[in-house]
Amino acid sequence: MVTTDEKGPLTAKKKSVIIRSCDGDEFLVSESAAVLSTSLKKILEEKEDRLIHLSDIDNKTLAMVIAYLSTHADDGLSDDLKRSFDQEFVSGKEFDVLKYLVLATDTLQVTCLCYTVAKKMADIMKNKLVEWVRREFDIQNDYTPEAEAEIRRLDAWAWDDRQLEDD
Amino acid sequence: MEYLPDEVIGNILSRLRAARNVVIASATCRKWQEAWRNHLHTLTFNSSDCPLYHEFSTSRLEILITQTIFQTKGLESLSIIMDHVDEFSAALVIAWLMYTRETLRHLHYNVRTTPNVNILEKCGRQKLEVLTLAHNTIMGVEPSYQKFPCLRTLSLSYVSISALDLSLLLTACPKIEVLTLDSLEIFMSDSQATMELTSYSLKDIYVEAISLDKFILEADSLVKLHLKDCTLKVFELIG
Repeated sequence: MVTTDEKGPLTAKKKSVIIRSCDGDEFLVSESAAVLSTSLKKILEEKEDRLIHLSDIDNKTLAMVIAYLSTHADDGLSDDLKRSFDQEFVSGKEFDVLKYLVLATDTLQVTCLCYTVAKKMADIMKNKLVEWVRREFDIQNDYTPEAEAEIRRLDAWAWDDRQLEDD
Repeated sequence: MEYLPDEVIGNILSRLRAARNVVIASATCRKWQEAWRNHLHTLTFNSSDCPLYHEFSTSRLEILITQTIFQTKGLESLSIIMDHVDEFSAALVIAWLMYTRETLRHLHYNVRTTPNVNILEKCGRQKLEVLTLAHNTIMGVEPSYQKFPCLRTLSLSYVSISALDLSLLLTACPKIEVLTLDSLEIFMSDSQATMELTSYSLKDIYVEAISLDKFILEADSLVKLHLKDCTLKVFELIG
């Protein structure tokens, strides 16, 4: 039960949220922006205080996601402007930066941004050799040479190295 | 990055679209192979994406398409656009459609089949939102059970269909908003050459290279009408 006296300060408090990255820095975010993330929305519905600690998202990535959320929460911007912001947002970003962004948007359940980032990553990955993918994602090849040969045999048509690039 | 969740890997692989790129990237490691089998939602075979397709015989293409589709589960979007292929075997096309019918939301298909396959009958209708069909024949639309409750966009090019079937098909799509009819071969069921289309949800219609004696379109919500290179003696727009 919220009494009339408590209502004032409570709503004032509700307007913003503090989000702390794994590096320990804190970001002040409007609640209307924070709730565009499905996970932040759930957390805010469940807890009283307005401080959220994200133990697996670093400063740089968190700042980018917050910039995205704040732009999309801005009622003054048209959908067209938001769309061009999205394109601008991913263009020219290093693959490494995109990897952390896609992971953060998945954790925070920001579906639209997760799709946009995944699309940008896929555009860069097009026509690359599998070795390129392993290197850029920093993934160990856990196949035995025999198992890998079998995979390549199964879909042999795709493994013609022509038109594939390694840089 | 080994800890990227399977859904995210599936999402990135899906954005690659072109089957060949997906197959190669999915061989990165065992986890990615799992992700492609369980979480891939979009797959495209497009002759303009991959010059290799032009070197393959039709039967080799049929095998690689079948094999690739059957390694996935829960595809939501399937595109088979092979401009250089004359025809695919009906049995395989039916297999592709049956395999994906529970989950498919987007279907783009443009190859003739022998014998003719009634694509509308075989494809999943419940979830389908976008259907692009070319170089096929549509026969015997049964609006009593062939309903497309979610279909928003329908595009037919170089399709043979009777005026009656086209009209029935439109009534089977209560949510259709965008309709493209390009170079259709329209059969008339009786001597009176009139085609009547009615849709209360349709917002955008594009008609190209169609000749009819009489075309009546009843569309209350229509916002955009585009007719190009059509030969119509009478055209009536109601609504």
